[in-house]
Amino acid sequence: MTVTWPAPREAGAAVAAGLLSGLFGIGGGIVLVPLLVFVAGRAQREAQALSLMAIIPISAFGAASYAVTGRLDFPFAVALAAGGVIGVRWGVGLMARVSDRDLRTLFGALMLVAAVALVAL
Amino acid sequence: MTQLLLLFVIGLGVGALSGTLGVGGGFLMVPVLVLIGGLDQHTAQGTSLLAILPISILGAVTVRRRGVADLGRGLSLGAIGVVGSLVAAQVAVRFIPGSQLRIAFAAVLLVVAAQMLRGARWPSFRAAAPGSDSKEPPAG
Repeated sequence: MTVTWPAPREAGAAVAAGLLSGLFGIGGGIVLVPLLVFVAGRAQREAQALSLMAIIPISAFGAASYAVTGRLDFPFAVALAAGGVIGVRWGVGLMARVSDRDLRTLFGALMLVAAVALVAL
Repeated sequence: MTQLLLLFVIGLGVGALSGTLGVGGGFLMVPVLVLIGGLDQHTAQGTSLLAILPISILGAVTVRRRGVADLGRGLSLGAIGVVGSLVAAQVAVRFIPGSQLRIAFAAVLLVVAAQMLRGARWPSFRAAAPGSDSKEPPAG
């Protein structure tokens, strides 16, 4: 595996994703994917793949950071992750079959739903 | 126990979305943990981040096998993101109340959604974006 350090634009996108990840307890993909597409000019599919990879160190350090302050429920995390690791393989299979344009529409739609749910609930 | 089972089932769905769209799925897990798990906002966020870790590892391994993107590039991107994450997690826990976080979170999602849907309607917008070096064809 060759480590390729990202261009300044992409590095900026990564820092922004990290900031939002720490602030909101998310992976940061919501921010990283569109930034990689719109600012760094990556294809939707490639941006999504890079995002999944980038989320590994971001979530690892983020979780550790919350754990230090005791803000973590281990059994709940295990339950969610147990389902998640099964589901993510289905998802990647689906991602490979959907066009870039449709992926982007799906992405936008999901964000809208999530935003509405967050305010309404 | 019922709660854990429910979270497992929700995890299946979140994982599927995570793989399809390349996100961690935390934006869904945080509200789920607050509403179903009964956690406070900050604990939900920490728990979400912990759940995201194995999901993203499995996702990255699976996606790498399809040759869509280079793992070294993705991980180095993440390593840079860690800097922002470490600072923000401390700021969130110590200085920002949960309710304000939720509203700020929703606002971020709305802005991003608008950008995404606009990009999907006018794909030429992306073609005009500078700095592209992604010439790889989509995996299939």
